[in-house]
Amino acid sequence: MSIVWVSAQTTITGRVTDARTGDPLIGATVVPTTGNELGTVADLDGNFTLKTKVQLPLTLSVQFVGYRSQEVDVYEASEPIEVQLTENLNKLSEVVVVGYGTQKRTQLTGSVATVKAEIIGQSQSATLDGALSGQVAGLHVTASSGQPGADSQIRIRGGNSVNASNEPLYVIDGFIYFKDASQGSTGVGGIEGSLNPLATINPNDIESIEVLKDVSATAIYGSRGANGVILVTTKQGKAGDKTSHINYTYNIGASRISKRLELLNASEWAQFQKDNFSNKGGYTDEQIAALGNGTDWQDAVLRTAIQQSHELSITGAGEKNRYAFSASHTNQDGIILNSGFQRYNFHTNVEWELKTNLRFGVNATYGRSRQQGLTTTESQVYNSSPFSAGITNSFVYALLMPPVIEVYKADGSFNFSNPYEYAYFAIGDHAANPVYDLRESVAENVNNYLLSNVWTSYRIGNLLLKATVGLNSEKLTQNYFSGAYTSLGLATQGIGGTGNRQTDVWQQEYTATYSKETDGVHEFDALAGFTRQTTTSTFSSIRTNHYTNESLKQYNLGDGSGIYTPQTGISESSLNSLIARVNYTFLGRYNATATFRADNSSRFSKNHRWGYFPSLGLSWNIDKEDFFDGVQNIDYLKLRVSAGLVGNQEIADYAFTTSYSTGSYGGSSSYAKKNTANDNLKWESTVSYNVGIDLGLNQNFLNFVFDAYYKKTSDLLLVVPVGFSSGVTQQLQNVGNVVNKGVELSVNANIIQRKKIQWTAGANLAINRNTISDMGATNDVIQGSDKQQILRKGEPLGAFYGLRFEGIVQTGEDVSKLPTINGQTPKPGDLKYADTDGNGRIDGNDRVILGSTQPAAVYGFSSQFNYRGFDASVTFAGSYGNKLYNALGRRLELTGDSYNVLATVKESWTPERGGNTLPLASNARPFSYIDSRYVQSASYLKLRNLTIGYRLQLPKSSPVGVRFYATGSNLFTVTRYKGYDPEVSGGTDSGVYPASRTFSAGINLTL
Amino acid sequence: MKKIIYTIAIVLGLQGSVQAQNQQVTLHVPNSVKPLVEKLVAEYNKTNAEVDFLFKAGKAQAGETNSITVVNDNPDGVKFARYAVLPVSARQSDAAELIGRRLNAKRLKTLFFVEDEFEDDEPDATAQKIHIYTGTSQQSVSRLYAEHFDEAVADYRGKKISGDDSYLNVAVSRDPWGITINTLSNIFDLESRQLKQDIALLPLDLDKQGKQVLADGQLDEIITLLEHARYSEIPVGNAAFAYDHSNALLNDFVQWVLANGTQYLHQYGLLKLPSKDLAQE
Repeated sequence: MSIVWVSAQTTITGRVTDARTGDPLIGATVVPTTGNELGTVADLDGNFTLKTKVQLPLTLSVQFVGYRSQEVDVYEASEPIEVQLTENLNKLSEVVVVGYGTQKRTQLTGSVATVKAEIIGQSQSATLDGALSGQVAGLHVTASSGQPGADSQIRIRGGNSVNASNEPLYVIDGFIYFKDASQGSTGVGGIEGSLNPLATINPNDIESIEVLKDVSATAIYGSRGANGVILVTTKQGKAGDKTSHINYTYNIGASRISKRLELLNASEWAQFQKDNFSNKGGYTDEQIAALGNGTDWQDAVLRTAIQQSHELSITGAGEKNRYAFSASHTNQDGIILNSGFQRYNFHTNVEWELKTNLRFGVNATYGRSRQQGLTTTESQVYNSSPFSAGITNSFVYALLMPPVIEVYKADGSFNFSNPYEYAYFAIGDHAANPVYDLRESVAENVNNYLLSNVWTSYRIGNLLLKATVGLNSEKLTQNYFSGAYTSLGLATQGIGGTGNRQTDVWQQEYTATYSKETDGVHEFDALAGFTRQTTTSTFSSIRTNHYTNESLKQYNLGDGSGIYTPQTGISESSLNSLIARVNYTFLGRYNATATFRADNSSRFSKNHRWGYFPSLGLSWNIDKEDFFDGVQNIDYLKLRVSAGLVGNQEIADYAFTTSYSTGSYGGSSSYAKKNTANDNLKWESTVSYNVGIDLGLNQNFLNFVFDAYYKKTSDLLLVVPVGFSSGVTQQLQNVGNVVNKGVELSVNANIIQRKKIQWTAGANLAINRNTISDMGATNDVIQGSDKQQILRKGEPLGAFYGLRFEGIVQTGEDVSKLPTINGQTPKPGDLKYADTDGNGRIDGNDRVILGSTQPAAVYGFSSQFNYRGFDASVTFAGSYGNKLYNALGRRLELTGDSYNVLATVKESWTPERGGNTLPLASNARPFSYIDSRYVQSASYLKLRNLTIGYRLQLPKSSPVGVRFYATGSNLFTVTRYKGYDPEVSGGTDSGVYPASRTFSAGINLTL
Repeated sequence: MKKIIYTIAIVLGLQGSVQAQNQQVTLHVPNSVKPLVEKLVAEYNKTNAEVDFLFKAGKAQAGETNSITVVNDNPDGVKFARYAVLPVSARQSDAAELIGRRLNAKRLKTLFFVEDEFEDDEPDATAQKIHIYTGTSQQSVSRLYAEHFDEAVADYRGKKISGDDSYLNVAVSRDPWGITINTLSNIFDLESRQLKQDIALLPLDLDKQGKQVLADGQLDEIITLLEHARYSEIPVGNAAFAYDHSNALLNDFVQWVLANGTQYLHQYGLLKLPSKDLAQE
């Protein structure tokens, strides 16, 4: 620092930082209050230089949006002035991350919600999608299952598509990361569920998540923005903060199933068999009474699961650099035997200032995750398939096991004798044992991943040039083995396989951003750039069966005498894009954002590869108008409107062209036509309109965000039936439209904000109406293994389709007036269905819409409280109006002489007792169509998370900070759903891995 | 020609030998202790004339050798004195009149620091009227004062003053509603041992002896008091030398100060270190 005298001119230098974080406040204004001289603006490091001819002392006013202004009297200029500004707790004060840049919230024209690191950290979720539940209006998270490491289904403002993906786009530190379902499989089969692609990111590495909801915010992602965009920014050292911050957290917890199904015990089951069937066991009444509870197979395959994690993070900065590094290890047992999830994760985020205005940075995440899950039967519908009988995995099979069967024999070895099993899982006198299945079978996904981004930027005055090259490389290995004594290996004397998939996604981005502000009147920001993303995915898998030695399981597949045709393949895709955006703010009141993206995707035929996606957003900071000066109690009021077009290209590669699948037939290679070319295949496009209001009241005591939107998706990518002349039965075509319209409301309250005590609360509600408004020439499309869903004009996506249950035929009822079923007149104890077409018989034409998977409303509530070292937080999430097909319940109420049933079956109709929910117990196969009893309300309210913690009140001189905490997850669920858990993605609960309740505790040390 | 070259070589050689004999030490010293350090240098030079001392503003720059910076409470520094910080205003100021009764630690905290994020929600009548002046410099005693009350520098009310803490006096002398904090060496006239003209101590709620000593306004009495008693209303910090401990030249000067220089501390408004602390250094 020096004083430079030129014509009595003084040079004042200094730095403006955030008082709490030490971050430089880029763009803070420093203006002399004396004289008429112009001020200056803090640069990227928060530094400023001001030349003045005014004689010292001079008063400077330092201001930054969202911070309390600070006045500084400068008596001498020999040292740089350190100015620390304190944040003004105003929602609009934030700088938010948007696609390819950042923007002040005051200048936003789009709908962008932010979830901060504090909220993410409190969730204790191993993946970031779990941490988002209940936090953002219009963002609905549905866990695909309770399996540790499993993914979730996320919908932002409803689903737009049928066959293309409805998942949002993720952008992690600038790298576009799409959850492509096909990349979660190697083709080996036999494994239920897959690894969550987002398991590559440790939630505690995240600084903030921005959810871009409307088209003004998402259009910059063009063909991939239709389902919303989730921007993830990882933690970074704070520039100028030369102290290294070391943070270590250890967490240990235990999980148990959150809800058990009530099944018949041994006495009840034997009695039921004796009363209704042939009493295969030959039990006398005395023996039945002596059986007692017998074997609780549900308990036998469940356990208390222990989880623990270690996390170490280091952040800091030097003169010319800043850095963040983290390492973590998570080991999470599943509540079902032999299941679990482990992850090693290393993350680094480093940035250097190489020369003045020249910066270079590297973000890299490397890790390995491993998920042990359940083996599954093939999901094919044919009569001899266990899957078609509702036995989807060994856990479901355990529920079906007769409770009179023991897990172990008297000598402690596994019991493979089950005289009641004669259908699917027994050969001769040798039957499957689900506990053995789970203990000895292998169904694992192992993913080694590298997500890296290298960038450099160079500033020339107001112009910032940036180049980024990134690679996401993942190697997925799937191992599968079921020995000769397992349910899946029985028929083939063991079956096993291994598969690998290598996926490499390269991304290049070149952008130029020009920013200019003139006299506080005009603020202008323009972005232009080119991006390219190429994906190459290769896979190979092999399966064999019939082993002589199973000891090495999948590591000795060569021992199998039966060899299935090996599967290998490659798919490549590319997306080349031009992007442009202009932000303009006039007088700090009127904001405009115009965005344009042109995408060229290899997934479409040559004539339709280019897609053009424009949007325009406008906003008006009404509170900054002169006429608003006298208005009390309103801190800010902003009106936003936006309109634009985005697309969806997330379909399989080569769907536009003719393709063949290979195999072998009679010892020779064979080809089968897989797809017929569709030269007209093009983008699914979504036109979107949004109106929003941001309102802050009573010195930020209350903040409201309200949005109303309308989205129409056209040229729906839909698999439709086609004529046999094409050589295939179905084809992907652009058919029909889907409309989503709704409203969202978020309310945040800063109830108490004092230095020693803080209490905040937030609530959000989103109401969405989803309708298929057009299906072209295509008639109803029935979907699902039980034909339980339908695509129909005028109905929402995911509509359930089945018979309306009307009770049980009672003794003495006039059956002559009842419609016939399968040509038979119902008799007392039979099911009654509504004859909706009035033709006197029950058939497929009587099916009606029974609700849908689309919730009428989703909502969340959360609150955080801090008082002198104590902290508490709570998060609730819920949905209302959505339905779920309880296929597992349907299976477990299906009576017979082989399998156990739900305790509700005790209420089955009998001539003596009557009953009006379940028919007379019998061996009859279920009717061809589902009925309304099993399309159940999946509305729920969940206490997702409750955390309490205490930070030791150590002297400031203490080198260590210590916090203890305890967390409960999924503590309770309020729901009318009769299965394990109402959160099942896809709408059909065929016995997915059940949800668990977790209690954990941990210690956090900071240095 | 050879003669000229020979002459130049001799001149350069002589200059080199002079530089070798007189080594230069750069001192970065806040104004509050500058008179003391100047005195120490003068005394040191009486027996160590081969060392030249150069006083520079600010802190040492990266790569600067042979430099010593006088810092407040630096754990790596070598402590050599203590300094006390007292709240002051202009003499007969409106601020002092409004404050009226004696200030205890709690009232001082309320007066100087914002109570909560919504400062304007429940403005304390006194705090609202009074203008607080504090320093922004890394060397300002405002940092010690905030730490003493378990507060952050950013939580000070009022206006910031850049530069040396001596300007805090200037600020309050111009503002009848202004109060500030400063070291004894900045508050008292070191010659007369009385308070500086136009500066008044704010009344503190101390014990009987403490009240009397402050009321008397005699520098030496206050130093004696604070060397023997501790008050939660009066933060006392350590002044230390920060330097390269492997540098023998600098070590020699610092050790000389610890052995011979403490006799001058009172004269320049500083407190001596407790003997056990001095022994540790």
